[in-house]
Amino acid sequence: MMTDITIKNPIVQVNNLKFYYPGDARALHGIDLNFPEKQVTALIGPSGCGKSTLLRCFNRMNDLIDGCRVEGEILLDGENIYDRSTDIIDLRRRVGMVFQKSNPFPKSIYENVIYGLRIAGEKDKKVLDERVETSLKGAALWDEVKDRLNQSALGLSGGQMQRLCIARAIAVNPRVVLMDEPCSALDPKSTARVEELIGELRENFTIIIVTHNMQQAARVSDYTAFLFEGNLIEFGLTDELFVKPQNKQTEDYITGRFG
Amino acid sequence: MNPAFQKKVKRNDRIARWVITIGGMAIIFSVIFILILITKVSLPLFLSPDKTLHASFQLDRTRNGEKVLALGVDEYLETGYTINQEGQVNFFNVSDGSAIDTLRLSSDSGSQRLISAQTYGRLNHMLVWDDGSVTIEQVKFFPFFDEQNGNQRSIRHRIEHAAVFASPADGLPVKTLARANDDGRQVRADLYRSGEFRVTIAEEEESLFGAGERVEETHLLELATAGQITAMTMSTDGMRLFAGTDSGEILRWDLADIDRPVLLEKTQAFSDQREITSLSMVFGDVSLIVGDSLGGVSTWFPVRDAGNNWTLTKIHQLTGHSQAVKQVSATPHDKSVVSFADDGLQLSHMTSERFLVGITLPGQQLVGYALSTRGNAVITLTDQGTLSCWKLDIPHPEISLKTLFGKVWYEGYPEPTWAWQSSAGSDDYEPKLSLTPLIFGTLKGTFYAMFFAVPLAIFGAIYTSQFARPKFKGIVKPAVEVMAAIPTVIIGFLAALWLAPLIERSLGAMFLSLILVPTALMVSIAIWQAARKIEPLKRVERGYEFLAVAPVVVMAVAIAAVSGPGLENWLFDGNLKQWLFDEMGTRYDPRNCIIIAFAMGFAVIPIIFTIAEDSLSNVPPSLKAASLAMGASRWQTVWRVILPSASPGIFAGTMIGFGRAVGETMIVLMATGNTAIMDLSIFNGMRPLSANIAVEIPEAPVDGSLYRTLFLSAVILFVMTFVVNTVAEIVRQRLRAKYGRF
Repeated sequence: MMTDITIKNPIVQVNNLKFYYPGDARALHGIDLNFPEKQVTALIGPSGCGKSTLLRCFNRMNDLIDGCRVEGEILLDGENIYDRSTDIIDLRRRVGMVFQKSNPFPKSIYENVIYGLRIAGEKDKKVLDERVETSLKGAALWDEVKDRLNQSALGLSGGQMQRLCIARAIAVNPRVVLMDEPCSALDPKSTARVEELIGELRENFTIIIVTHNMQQAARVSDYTAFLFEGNLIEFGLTDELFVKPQNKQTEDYITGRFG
Repeated sequence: MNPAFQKKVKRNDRIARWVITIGGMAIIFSVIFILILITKVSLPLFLSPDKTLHASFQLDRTRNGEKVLALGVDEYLETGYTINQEGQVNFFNVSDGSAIDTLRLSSDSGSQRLISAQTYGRLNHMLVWDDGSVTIEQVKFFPFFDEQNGNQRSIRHRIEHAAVFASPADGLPVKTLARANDDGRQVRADLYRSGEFRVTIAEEEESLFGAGERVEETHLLELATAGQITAMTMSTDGMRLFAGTDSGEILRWDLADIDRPVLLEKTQAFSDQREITSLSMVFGDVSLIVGDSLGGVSTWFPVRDAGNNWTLTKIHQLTGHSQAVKQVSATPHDKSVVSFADDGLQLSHMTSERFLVGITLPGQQLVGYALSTRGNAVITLTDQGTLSCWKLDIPHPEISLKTLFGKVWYEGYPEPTWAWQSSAGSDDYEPKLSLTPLIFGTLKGTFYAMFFAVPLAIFGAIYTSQFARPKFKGIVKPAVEVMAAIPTVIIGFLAALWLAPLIERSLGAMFLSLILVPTALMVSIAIWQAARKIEPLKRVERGYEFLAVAPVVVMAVAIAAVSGPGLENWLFDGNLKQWLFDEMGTRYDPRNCIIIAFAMGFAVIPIIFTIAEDSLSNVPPSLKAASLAMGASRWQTVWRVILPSASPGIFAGTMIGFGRAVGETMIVLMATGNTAIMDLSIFNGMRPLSANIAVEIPEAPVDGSLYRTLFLSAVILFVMTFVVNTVAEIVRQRLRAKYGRF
């Protein structure tokens, strides 16, 4: 199923992407999708539809799985990230990721935020301090933690930890931030804060978010893609897709008939 | 839920809780019990000696005469005797003083009266008769079992006439000293009123035809001293003669040559001119006991100085008296020293310098004493004729904290040292029971083993858990765990009988491979990094690189093995061991720390590897994913995220490995050479506590000093591992609080 709208100057282009898990189990059957810059795009679909697999293709986290295989191409700023010349480390600097379960390192809050800079070899204390502040402010966490930057990140609450992970991801100024169900482990109040934050982040970053929660997709995203059994069923402006889906399967899913 | 089922669940829960609680408690208690048990055996080492008055009575004056010259008692504390001026030996019952019988001694010359007597060794009495002749009488006791009378035991006695010395031709001496040894050598030294000091040596000399002939020579000894001779003693074999003067000098002669006694030295022993009042030899005839007029008691033996001269040197200063020492003598069974002055009788041990027992009788002056040959009793006689028998309980006179841990100057050693040498062929051996070299040995062996094992095990664990393919990990981990199941005795004998000779043969090759293997690895890695950019090699899957490393390592070792001897020839004149000895001053023992590092490392690696690998693998994958998603390389992820998070486990594994290495027995027993030396060099061995216990406990008499010292070393071993494990646990908890939430 092709998309009905065309994206101008897409930041990420997915062309006929096929993904095979070990044992040639195909999880994605040829996805074609363009992602607009500085917009929030939600990937929705029932469990096992391949939305998380697709998300992990964008920063090649799937490479960690032994024996998986990718066909097709993903272009980030026009370069195929599956080209052999692609530096995977550089790619991951440009494509940040926030995981389902918050996973701060067992280090101080400060060290968590500047992890990406540290591994890039940044040593200038001034740069680091400045980046910590901007990132934490960007993640709407600065006011809560500015007095205890040197305390362990493990002492934060669940919502704070997730926002810290977002701060960590944006500290290296990525082009794209991937979010894999970032609120699924959070309580409603923390979820609201993170959703609010996603809205703010849109001003500077391109966000691709996987979510199970259709209300959330409707609330935070500009575009939505619906995947089903490894196929892209429908892609469009969120407002339109949720109001009048073009496809029967999409309609059935968003109205809660399956999923 | 069904109430009956619920009840059952609750009951099972209760039972499980009880079983687990009891099991856990039982473990804790049994560990404490073991500690208490071994501590209990070793504690008597530090008990203070004790004396009890066994019997006390008035000696019968009519029977014993006015003056008792010598005393003695049997080792069963049943029969005692006195020797009086008339040459009578009066035997009496020690418990009540009742007379048993009287034997009459006489000199061969027919003299009937004694001038003086001196006791030495095992109830040997040197008697000086009033015509100047000397006899040596040995009193012997032996138990007798009367078969007619229900096998009742009684102690029989006999007096053996051991030696006779004719009276000197030059008139009566003031002081006489005589000794006779088993070879028929008889030596007497006589000091005359004129100050002349003569020695008469008689020996059996075998002529060409085998017929024995007695030769006797008398020499006037050269003196040239400032003072008068006031004390003298001779070794039991009559080979060495010592004399002390009233100006604090000690003279030493060698009497080995019958034709020419040699004055070996004249040493000013005391700078304050105090008089030497009594001399005697410590059991074993090596150390000289010196008693002086200021109450000091010290032991001396000749020590070689820088100029290769042997000089009598003060080794031990024992507890002194408040008055001039009247007499010093040695105990006949160990290195204890008895000294006697107006303020009483004292017993001290030479090696440990411990004051053991003091005996004073208020209001009475001691005039004589005798020690039982077993050292378990002493009888004393006072000026009022009171004879007392004291039972002594001196379980471990040679043990003190200083002898166990400090430097001690042992007989025949050039300087104070730490030494472990618990036993030797003869009874008069001075046991050297210093635990310091053993503790040192344990730590040394452990250090080298850990030095070898820790990096290998931890890097192996990092590679296996973080870099290798899971399939490879599935093979390696069980294989390494099987390593742990190899009986250490097998590792031990392989190390001792195969590895030790191999390394000794190819020492040069081994050192060469220490350089070549890392170099070859570095070079091959650099080549690999470059080669990976070429198309076909790009497709080689990550995680199988180690397969390419194996031939590189093998080749490096092979090159080392081939070129090792050549290099040895070129750099070290063909023999690295000789070169080490000549140039570095280190001796190469075939069983050394290199062997121990390999063998004990082999035993320790599996433990450290397994625990470290587990804790590395248990770092949540989400952390690894987070780090990788941030653009960290694999190594950065390991270094910055995985290792800190796994550090409690890695540390715990290392410490458990350390504990294992400290307690490891079989490997060190077989492959260390068991030399109790204190030398950090990697080229020689050591004797660790554990191996020492294994070697010596079968030969240690139960409840003896060695036995208890071995138990004490077991306590130390226990405490060492306990401390290591406790510290490890504390550090682990801290690390966990810092880095872990899992």
